[in-house]
Amino acid sequence: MQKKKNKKDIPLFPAYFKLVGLILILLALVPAIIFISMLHTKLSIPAKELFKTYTYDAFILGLFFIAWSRDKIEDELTFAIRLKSLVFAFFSIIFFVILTPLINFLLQVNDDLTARSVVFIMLIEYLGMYYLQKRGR
Amino acid sequence: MKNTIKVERAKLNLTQQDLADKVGVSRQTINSIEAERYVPSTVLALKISEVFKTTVNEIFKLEKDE
Repeated sequence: MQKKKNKKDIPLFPAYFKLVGLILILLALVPAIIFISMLHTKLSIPAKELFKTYTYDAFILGLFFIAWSRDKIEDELTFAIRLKSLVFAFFSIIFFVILTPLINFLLQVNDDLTARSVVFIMLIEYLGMYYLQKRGR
Repeated sequence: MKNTIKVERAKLNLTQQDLADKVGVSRQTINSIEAERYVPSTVLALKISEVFKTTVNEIFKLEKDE
């Protein structure tokens, strides 16, 4: 029985975007490791910030491509798992954002959450939850 | 929701993969339905019943507290 395109199907990237995402993450990580180990002292502070921003962005984009690309078999169960994972990531980030100032206060640190870190944490939680649930099936 | 997919499969000598291929889902989906961890959509339930040449009501049964 051939699966017709359903109105409820969510628009996902093609499966090869997983590979694109992995390459993006590697492209972000390799220069970052070189930067940390070798170039750390040679760059000015604005250049360091720019480098950090673009590394973070490439990492986030890579994770997004992995998270939002089709699996080999995409059906209603994977749709349900995706939805559950999104809900988990959404609710947990709310608690994370609320609890962070309290943790900062208790640990006497000043480590504010940026929009980038919120998106990064959500993507990690989504992916973790998605693959954990898929493995359990 | 209870179901008799395993029994029906055995009658037709179908594996989970065979049934999954026939209705266009993954083997994990059939496994989850059989293990009652996932309730299929109406469309999928109808497709499954079509494979077994029976009605949805014959395969899927509500439990008392549902």
